[in-house]
Amino acid sequence: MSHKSDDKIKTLLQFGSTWWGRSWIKSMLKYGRFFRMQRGITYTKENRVSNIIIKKGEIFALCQGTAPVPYRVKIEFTPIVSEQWRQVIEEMGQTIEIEAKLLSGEMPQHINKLFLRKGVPLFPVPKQNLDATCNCPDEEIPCKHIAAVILTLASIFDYDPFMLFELRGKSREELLSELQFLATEGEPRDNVMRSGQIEPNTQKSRSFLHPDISKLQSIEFDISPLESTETLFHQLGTPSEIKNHEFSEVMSTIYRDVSQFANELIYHKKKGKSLPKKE
Amino acid sequence: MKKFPELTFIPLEYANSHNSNLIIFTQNEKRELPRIKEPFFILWIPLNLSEEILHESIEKTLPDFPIEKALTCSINLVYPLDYIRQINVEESSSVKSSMILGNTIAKIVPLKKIVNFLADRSLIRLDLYSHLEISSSMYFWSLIVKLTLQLMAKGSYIPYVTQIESSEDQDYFQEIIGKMQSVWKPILKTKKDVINYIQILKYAPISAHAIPIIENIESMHDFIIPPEFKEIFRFQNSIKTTSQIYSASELSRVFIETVLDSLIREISAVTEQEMNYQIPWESRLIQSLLSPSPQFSIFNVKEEIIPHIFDLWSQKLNLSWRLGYSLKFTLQSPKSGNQKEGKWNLLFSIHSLSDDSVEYPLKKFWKCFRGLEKAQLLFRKNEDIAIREYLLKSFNVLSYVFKPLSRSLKEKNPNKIVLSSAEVVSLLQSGMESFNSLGYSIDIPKSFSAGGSQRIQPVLSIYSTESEKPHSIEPSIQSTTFDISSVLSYEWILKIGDTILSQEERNKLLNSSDERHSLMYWNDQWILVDKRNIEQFYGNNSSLKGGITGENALKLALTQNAYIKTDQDGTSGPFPVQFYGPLENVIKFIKGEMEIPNEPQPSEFQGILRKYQVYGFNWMRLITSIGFGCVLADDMGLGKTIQIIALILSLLENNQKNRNFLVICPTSVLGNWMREINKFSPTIQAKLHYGAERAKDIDALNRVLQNYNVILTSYNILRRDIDLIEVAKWESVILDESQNIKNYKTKQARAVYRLKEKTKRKIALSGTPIENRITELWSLYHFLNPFLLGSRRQFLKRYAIPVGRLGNEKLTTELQNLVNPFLLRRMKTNRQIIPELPDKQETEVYVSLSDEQKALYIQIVKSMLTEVEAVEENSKQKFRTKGLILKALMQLKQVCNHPDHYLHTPLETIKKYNLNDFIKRSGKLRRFIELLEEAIASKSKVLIFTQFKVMGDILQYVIEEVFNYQVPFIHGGIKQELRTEIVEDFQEGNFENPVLLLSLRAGGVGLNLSKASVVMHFDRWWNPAVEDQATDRAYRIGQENKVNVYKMVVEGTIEEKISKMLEQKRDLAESIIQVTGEEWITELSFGELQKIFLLGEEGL
Repeated sequence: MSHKSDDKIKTLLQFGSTWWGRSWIKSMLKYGRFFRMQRGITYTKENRVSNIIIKKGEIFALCQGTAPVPYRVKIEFTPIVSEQWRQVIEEMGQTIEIEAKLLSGEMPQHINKLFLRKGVPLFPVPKQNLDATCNCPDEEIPCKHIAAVILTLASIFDYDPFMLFELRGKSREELLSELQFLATEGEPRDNVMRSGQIEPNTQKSRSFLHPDISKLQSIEFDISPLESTETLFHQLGTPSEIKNHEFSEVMSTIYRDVSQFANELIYHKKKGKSLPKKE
Repeated sequence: MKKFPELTFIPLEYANSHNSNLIIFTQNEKRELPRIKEPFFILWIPLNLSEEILHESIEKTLPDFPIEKALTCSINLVYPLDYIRQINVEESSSVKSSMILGNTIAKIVPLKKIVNFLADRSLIRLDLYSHLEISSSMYFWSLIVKLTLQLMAKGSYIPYVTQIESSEDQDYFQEIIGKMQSVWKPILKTKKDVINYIQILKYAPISAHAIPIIENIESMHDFIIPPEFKEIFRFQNSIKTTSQIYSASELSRVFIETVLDSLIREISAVTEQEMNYQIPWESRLIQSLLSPSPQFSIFNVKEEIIPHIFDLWSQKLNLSWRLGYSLKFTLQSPKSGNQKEGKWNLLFSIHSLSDDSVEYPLKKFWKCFRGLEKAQLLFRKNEDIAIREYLLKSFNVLSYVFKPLSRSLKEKNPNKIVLSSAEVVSLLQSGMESFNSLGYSIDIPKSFSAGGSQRIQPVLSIYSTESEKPHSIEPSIQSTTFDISSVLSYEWILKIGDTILSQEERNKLLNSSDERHSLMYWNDQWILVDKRNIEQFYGNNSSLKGGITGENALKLALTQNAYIKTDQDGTSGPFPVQFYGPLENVIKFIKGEMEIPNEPQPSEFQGILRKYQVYGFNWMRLITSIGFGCVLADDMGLGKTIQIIALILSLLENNQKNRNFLVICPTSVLGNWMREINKFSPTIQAKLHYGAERAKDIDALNRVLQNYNVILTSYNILRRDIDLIEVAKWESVILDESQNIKNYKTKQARAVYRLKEKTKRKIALSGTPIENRITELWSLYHFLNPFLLGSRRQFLKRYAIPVGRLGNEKLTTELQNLVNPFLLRRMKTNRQIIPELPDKQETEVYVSLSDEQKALYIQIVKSMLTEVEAVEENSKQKFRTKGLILKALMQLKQVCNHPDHYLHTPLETIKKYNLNDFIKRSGKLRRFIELLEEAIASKSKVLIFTQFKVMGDILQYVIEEVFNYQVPFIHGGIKQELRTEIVEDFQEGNFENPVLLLSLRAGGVGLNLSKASVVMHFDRWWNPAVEDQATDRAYRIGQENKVNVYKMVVEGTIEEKISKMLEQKRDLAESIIQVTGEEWITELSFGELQKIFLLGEEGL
């Protein structure tokens, strides 16, 4: 490979901002013809791809070309068979790590290695040519529309890695429930004994109908001026996808104003009216 | 007693549903509004169809509510059948707990307005505002509003985005490919928030969420409409209902979410700008968050992931509160052997948010989850799945915050991790903070926390200038006095546990630790070192030592809130405070950390003091000797008066006979004090300063002071004679029923304050717990220990509002720490006290007649005696005298009760009188109400007996008006079924209705009232057997409580005299009275009659 090719590949890889998205692109490039992929660059940057639908083994999308009506693109892959999935999932369930991360919406770095260890291809592996269709006049595969869809998918997968699993045959929910099933070591849920209710007694007893509200007199609230580090927004930190600097500043202002409002309302500074007290 | 109007939240879907039957009235026209856009609140009264009554009720509770402007509507609601019972309707239905569906008239309150109203009424202290009659549903919603405001104040909410599915959204022409909706989501973050929320919901009254969920036309068995009420309810298409109503949690959740979102938008509103694809989506989002319209468009497929961004982002939040469980960590220091080598364990467990005692190690949870361990765990079906998910997510999140936890991720069923000492340091330094802010709690060994033995701690040490520094010999506590104006010395020292570090040791520490915070190995154990603390001891030398006033020193010692100045003009702390030298004992004593030498009861005391009473008078003596004022706040019936008498006696011992004591009390109790002094300490010379003959000038007063030790006076008289009284020097001033100076502005309070300077020992007696009444507290302590709580303004700012309005925990604790050392309170339910109390204690409460009563009394007696005398001669008319005497007896009894009882004023008329004036007209009634208040305050259930139905009606009315409790009255006219129910309510119920009124006779046989612990006889019937039977109903087998019986006796009247005579002629009484009831009185000779009937000169 020449330097120029390296550069071109690098350009393509930039459409994926996580290792995940980039791996996707890399695996698509294995179908060859990376210069064809390049033709999708402009269209991708121009956000011409829309209405993406991802199902097991199939991708549908629309790509706006020069014609008034967008072209319809379809790409198909052989999904991972269930036996393979079973093996992979069993491996995943050896520790809580993968399940924990999946539950939190994260994709653990080493998951690729796990798939490889089991000999299961996480990303589609080309056994034949790319099985894609597009109703544009260009006969070549991939045409720029198909290429644009593939590149756009990288950023889709960046944001929602589970879409890839979906493509490969298991939705996130399915994956998680199978992992959980593993955790119980296969015991059907209902066979496990549980003890009784901990619900408060909601019978129509006297206390349900006429609870002793004086018991609430000792509830303590903490309405006081805000430390900026206390707000949930600050503690979570600005979502990493938000590049706009203004966002967190605006948020800080909002939180501060809202807190001030609440404090003033409770401390009566706004109204200046107070209730007549018993003498 | 139900209060109205009720307040209920009407969610959108109900308002718009056919089942609500919502009709809105405008200007006498009925009109159904088109689809309602926003939820709202309604004010209503059950079963009420009259708008006027509703208006009246609203005016009373919400005086600033714009009744005219508000819309009226009618709507279907549901509430318990009991509501009807409360509104004085006789019913014989045995159905107690069914629900009723009804259509009611109501006033609409828009959502935005309600926050303003309820923020005002979000008062924790119901007692301060009880006269405004806030209904329980209004109180409930006000708490929810307060919670919402707290969330707003603390930033406990996040922005969030969801996608709106709609085919109309796509608009290729404008390049819009979809629409998003932004919302502000409230989040209950801390454990406290969750517990508060759960608690509020637990006690939500039905009226607050009285909305039926009508699903299908099924059986009606849970909703019953008694036939007599059918006309009252308007039905359309005969709606039948199921047994479901909206849950309080559902409604409050909807309410909090709606209100929070709309308020935030209102507060931060921006002018809307045109948003097109060129504007970055973050800005479009911000605008949608800040404007009334929450939607914004997206223009390309990448923006479709926006909801996902926020979803992931918010997942980091610990939403364990939904589960009711939380993951908890416990750090264990190495068990045995060398701490340096040892391993630190960080254990994992799961604990219940609503019940602190429920906690399982995670090991157990995993086992149960896998079905390996059965029973014991208390999870509902599928709840364990949710918990496991929560656990996994937690480990993931925390592994970023505290790296060692990623080791747990490599396990299948993690139960703990082992930490190196470096990791422990990192945990203690910053890890804990992160854990806490994310909602996870960590327990660290006590010795590492502030004040522990394994932590270096700056301590402020205070000692008096005369004595040496720490470790001087301590003189006995009895000879120590504390002068708050004296100047003491202080010094900041460093301690590890109990050891004080020397200068060299400090240096050593400083030089040996590398980082800011570290775990250091020192003397065979690990200690936590905050290097900054040590550095300060090099920097600012001048603030390390100095002088401090006694006043401030004392306050610091009580609150343990000492701050040290740091280099950059900041402060660091709070740090503990320690006294050395003689004052160390003083502090220990007032904090209750010291055994005090108990002098035995004074030899001149007639009777035997109980142990706690011995403690009581010793404590009072000692604390006032040191120089502090104090409060004795024992429960009613424990003998506060007696303890004071013992105190006075002990202070007069050893020939200190020239001391003077002033007792100030309510007028109605003066007689009682005199009586008790005479009974228990006849050697004390006591004099009443009361009435026209009292001392009027200094000479007269001095004469009195020379001849008498104890002067008794009333608050009224004190107020008038203060110029005179303040001249004297008092050994002690004792305020009985100290709530009489609860308002510092009154003349009598100000009079009391004038006695501050010249009184050595200041003591207050109180039967009602004052620690909850903040402003009362200040008034009282302003007399007792003025330095303690500062000026009124300072006090209001620092304590009254945060503690009284908001229940701020930190400040409440601080205030308690300041106040409690000077307050002694024992309760009847104290385990130590109970064995000392007799099972049944009978007390006669002496009261006096009001002037009006006196006049009536004298008149009746005079006319009766005259007539009898006239008849005396003619023995044929003897039977007439019998009648006359019995009639007079009856009338006099009535006069003793209340003039209007004798005058037979109808109840309707009485209800129109001013209540306070009415009560004052009878000495007995006045005192009775005071006693009842104390009894209720001590959480007792009370039985009240009277022999007159008429008086019973009056009592019922008065008690209900004063206390706002419903008071059931069992008398002859009450049917058996109802009686049984009332008794059941009384026995089983909680303290909403702690008072039961019974007529002496009809209080019937076979009633089990064993839960009562106070019995009050309002008037007497001189057949002791009958009386005792009534009393014994409370004191029965199975009785858990001690019973206090109070018999009201009016001094100088037949009540007193006959009861005395009965005592003297006990055997006679028993035999005669059994047979003839009260008629034996008619057999007495004229001379005896005179003695009995003429108003005695005793007492007042």
